[in-house]
Amino acid sequence: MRNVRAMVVLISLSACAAVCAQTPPVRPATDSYVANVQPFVNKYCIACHNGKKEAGGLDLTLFRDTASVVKSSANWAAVKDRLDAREMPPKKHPEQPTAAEAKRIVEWIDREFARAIAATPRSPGRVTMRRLNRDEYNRTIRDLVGVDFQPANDFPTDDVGHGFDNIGDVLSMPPILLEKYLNAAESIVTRAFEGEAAPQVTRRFGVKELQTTTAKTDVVDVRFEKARWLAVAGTVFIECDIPRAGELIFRVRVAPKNLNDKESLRLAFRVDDKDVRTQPFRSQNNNPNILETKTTVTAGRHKIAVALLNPDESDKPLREKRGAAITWIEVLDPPLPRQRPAYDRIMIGNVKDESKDRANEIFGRFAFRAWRRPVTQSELGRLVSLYELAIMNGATFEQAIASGLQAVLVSPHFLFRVETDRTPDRPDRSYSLNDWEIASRLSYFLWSSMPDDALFQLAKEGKLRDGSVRAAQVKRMLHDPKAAALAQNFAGQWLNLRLLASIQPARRDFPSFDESLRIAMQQETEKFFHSVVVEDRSVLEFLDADFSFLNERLAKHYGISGISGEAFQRVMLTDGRRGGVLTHASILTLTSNPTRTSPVKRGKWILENILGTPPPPPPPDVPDLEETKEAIAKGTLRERMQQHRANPNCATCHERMDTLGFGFENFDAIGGWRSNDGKFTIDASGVLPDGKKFSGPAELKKILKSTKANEFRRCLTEKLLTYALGRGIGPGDRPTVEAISQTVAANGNRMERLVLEIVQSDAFLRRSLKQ
Amino acid sequence: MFHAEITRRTALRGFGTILALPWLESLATNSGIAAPAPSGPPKRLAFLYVPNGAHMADWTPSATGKEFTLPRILEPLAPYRRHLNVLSGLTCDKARPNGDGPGDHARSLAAFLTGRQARKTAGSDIKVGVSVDQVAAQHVGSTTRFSSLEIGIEPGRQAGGCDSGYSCAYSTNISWRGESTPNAKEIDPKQLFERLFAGKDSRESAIAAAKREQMRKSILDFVREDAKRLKGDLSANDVRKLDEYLESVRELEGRIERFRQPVDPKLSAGVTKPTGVPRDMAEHLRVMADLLVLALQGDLTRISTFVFANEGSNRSYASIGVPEGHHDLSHHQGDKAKQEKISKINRFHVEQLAYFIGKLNAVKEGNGTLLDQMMIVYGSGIGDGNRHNHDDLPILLLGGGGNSLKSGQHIRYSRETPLTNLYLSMLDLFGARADKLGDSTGRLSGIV
Repeated sequence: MRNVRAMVVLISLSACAAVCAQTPPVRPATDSYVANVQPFVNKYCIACHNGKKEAGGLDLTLFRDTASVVKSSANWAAVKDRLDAREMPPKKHPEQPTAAEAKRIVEWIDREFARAIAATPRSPGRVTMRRLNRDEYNRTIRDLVGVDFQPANDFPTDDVGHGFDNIGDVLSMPPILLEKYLNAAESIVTRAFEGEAAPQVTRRFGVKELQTTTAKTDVVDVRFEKARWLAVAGTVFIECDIPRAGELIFRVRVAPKNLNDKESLRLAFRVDDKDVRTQPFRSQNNNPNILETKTTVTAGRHKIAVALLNPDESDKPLREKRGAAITWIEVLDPPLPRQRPAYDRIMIGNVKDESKDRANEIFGRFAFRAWRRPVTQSELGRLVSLYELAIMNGATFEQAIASGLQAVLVSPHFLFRVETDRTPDRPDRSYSLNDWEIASRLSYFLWSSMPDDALFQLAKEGKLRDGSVRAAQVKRMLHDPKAAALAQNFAGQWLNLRLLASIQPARRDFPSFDESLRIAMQQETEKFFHSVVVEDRSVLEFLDADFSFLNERLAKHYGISGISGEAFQRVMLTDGRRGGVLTHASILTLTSNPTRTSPVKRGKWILENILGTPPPPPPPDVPDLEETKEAIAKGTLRERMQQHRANPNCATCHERMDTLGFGFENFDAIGGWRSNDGKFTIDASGVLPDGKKFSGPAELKKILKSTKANEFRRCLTEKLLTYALGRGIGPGDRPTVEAISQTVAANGNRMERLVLEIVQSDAFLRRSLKQ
Repeated sequence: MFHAEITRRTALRGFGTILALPWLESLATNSGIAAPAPSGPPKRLAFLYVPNGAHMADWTPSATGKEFTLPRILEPLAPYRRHLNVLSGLTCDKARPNGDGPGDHARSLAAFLTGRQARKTAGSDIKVGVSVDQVAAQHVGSTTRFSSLEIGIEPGRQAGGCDSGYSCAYSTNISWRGESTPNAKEIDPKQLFERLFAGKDSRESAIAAAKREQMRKSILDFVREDAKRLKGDLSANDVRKLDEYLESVRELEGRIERFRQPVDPKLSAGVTKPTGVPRDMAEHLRVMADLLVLALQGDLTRISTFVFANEGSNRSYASIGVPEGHHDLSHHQGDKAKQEKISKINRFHVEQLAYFIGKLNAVKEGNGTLLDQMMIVYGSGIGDGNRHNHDDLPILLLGGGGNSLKSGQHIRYSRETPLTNLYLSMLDLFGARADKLGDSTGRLSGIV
């Protein structure tokens, strides 16, 4: 994170890099740092930032010369920031530098950094071969076999690096994972071959639909249910259409009546007047039972009947005779043949053909799609050998094919996104990716999955290295439903949305919070993100927008009327308070504590994820806010927070975080609007370090949108680039980030433009050889 | 709570009956394991980790030697005192910044078993060192079906940063098979069960099972060849990834080759397969502990790590009346009420430890129990969660180590004694002698 942070500052300097580079660097006899900066540091900083106290995690005694400063750009970017904002040294420090003194140091840092950037060779960078993460694995299998099996849900969670779980270096391959891959491959192929049974249709015919062969039968009551009464020779039956030939199941709910201990009814179950089964029947306390019969039928109309074979021949009244009361007859149609879409997709060619040639054909197509590139003859040959080995060991054609398919799915070519080293074609020792590699980079960036047939076709034609073709593909892909992956995976991690699942607001304080609200919150932000993508809106709308997506539950939570139902609708927001992710209940909740809001967490979240300037972590030895009843009675949260901002160790960073966070105090810990906190009126006003004043979230959002647009664009560019490349952003990427965010700014801040610029960048299309 | 207890017992009905099974009586022959060495049942290692330090005032006994009173947090271990050593004063120096700035939590877990300073990176080039469990695993791992078993109950964080510029790989993984390759842990009891007992259909015939294994072997052959060929076209970190892959292939191949027979069904007989992750934390920890005991008892593995919660974990312990986040609380600033709550969480964890120890103690093995053969380290890489100190760590050593450990004592070591010295001593007893592990300076006195 600290590197990223430094980046932002450095990038802002890169514009001046060219200018600065024109002045030939003067090499003073003594080191520039020692001569120009160290005296300042010793006088104003070292009392706290030394090896012992390490205030803010910073030990300035470690720096002895200019080179060491440049190397530790993250720390010195922070130093520059603080000096520039006149946040350091803290007001309580006995010695205060003059404005000119501070300015001189800021300029020195600027100059040295610019020099360092100018000296840094520009490079497309090198991503480490990426293993598919869990989500990518699931989606890739879905697109490969055409059925959404979700096998990766059993895999261990992937580690996160640089804020995302698709970072090549962090995605390791311990044995447990290979074990899971072996099992998954086996179960995917088995399930694909077995197919899924189609749900069976059940029809029930109640007493009104039951017919009888004899007029003497009528309706009786059995435990509050109406039933057909069968006490004389004859049947109770139905006639119904059976849609297809096959095994028919029918069930009869029947209760014996007027039986003595020694008697049984003899019942026959008939289809088209033929006995399928006869059986004696009695039951405890003459309770109703369900009797099931199976038989094979043809398609068409059939008569299904129950007959009484031993009618009571006595001359008792009909109702008192021994008999059967039939409540209903149920018919289960013969099942549809098993659906095997995945099997059909994989087992191409003539089904009757079980030759080696067909195996070859099947493997060729499957491996090509699974490995996302043409398969070599030797690779294919080895797959066929595997198949032959299985046949030799007595496997059937299908089993032998299955072994080859499993091998394809466990192969490193499937599990990793391989980009092999090639001869560099540019002086910076980088080479351009081939069409297949570009196809995969595109599909995993925008869909978290493998390329589709259209991308494969373009790759085959060698067209993906053409910028305008790529641009058209980006447009197409962003409008494909698969682009939902970008909202779930990129936005889910950029905005920390995935953490919402583990947030537990205290039930006592927020009784209205429940799972349906949690899910609605998450959906709002995902849908909002998705709409900015597909509607190609300005990225600045993430900061403030006049619309969102709400369902009834969430609208009620927001106090917005007129929205009903579970489905989300696009809603125009008119009050200026809501709108933009900063005021989504999701973000407001995941940046709160279980019992109360946390302006610190909210401010920190904005600094990290919106402005790209994360604060350093607190020193370990910091007092927490008092949460006791007496403390709460003492004053508002803001007043209580003032206490700990009195501590100079905390004040600087907290000024930055808390000011932003307090601007959103009108939203409670689950994002509901409020004007009071307990008995205190909410004060959501503040003054930003640059002197801009605001009162309430609407004004703060406007200020952020108008004055922090640059920072936000850079931050978003960096995050999206990190996600697109699957690696951390390094010094060689600085010019790329700066160029992209400037182009986006010059083009109405359009989201599609941002995606496109990333896709068209060297970093995306090329790869450096090993540094 | 009561309800949960019932559920768990119901779910695991049958554990008791298996526990009487003497070691290797039938397992050794049936599972294709080499006959036990004449010296008797093997020694086993387990490393259990708890995050955010401990409330040391309620942890450290006031007296040293054999005559000490168990402080509040350790009370649940009273029945196993004979098998308990409280080791005070040990240090995990590499969890300290040593110039790297903040990030104690990530560093603590990464350094706990490695004794090495984690490279500060958000994910570009993670590197720490091989952990002690893996040193042991590399030595004897091939004797058992699983060279080591990594379990826990918390998944990794799913977004954002974990600790001050350190990749989440550091704060979630305790076991490192290579200096850049963490061993991911299993947290779902159902998955763990299937893994241990091979998830095999009991109706599968021996011939079908053999065919299946044969198929797996040829698949592994195939992909190993793939990886080898691919390696020639790659360089740098890509090669590292492929090496990880190849090592994993080798491990699985070895397992298939050495253990042709499925795990003896007696071992899992009567155990109801867990259906998923229990909601209740205690239940979750105990089900995992139950399964670990089975794995150790059946000699499916001899080495394990068990992370009770990821380092820096902020989960709430509402079920024991502590709804606040653990990490938030650990910065207690001397607040008595908060310390009390931390103490409660610490004791809760030790209760689960005691449950695990109890289970081990109930397994008869040779002339003693499984616990007699164990060497278990339990502790944290942070001392006091408020100060974030890494000296005077809360560390317990439990088990008999094959009747070779001196037990039942509280020992205070001199300042800055590396925790890794303990591991060197354990490796000696385990038969996997190493000269150095991370920052070790020698063997630990007083325990052998």
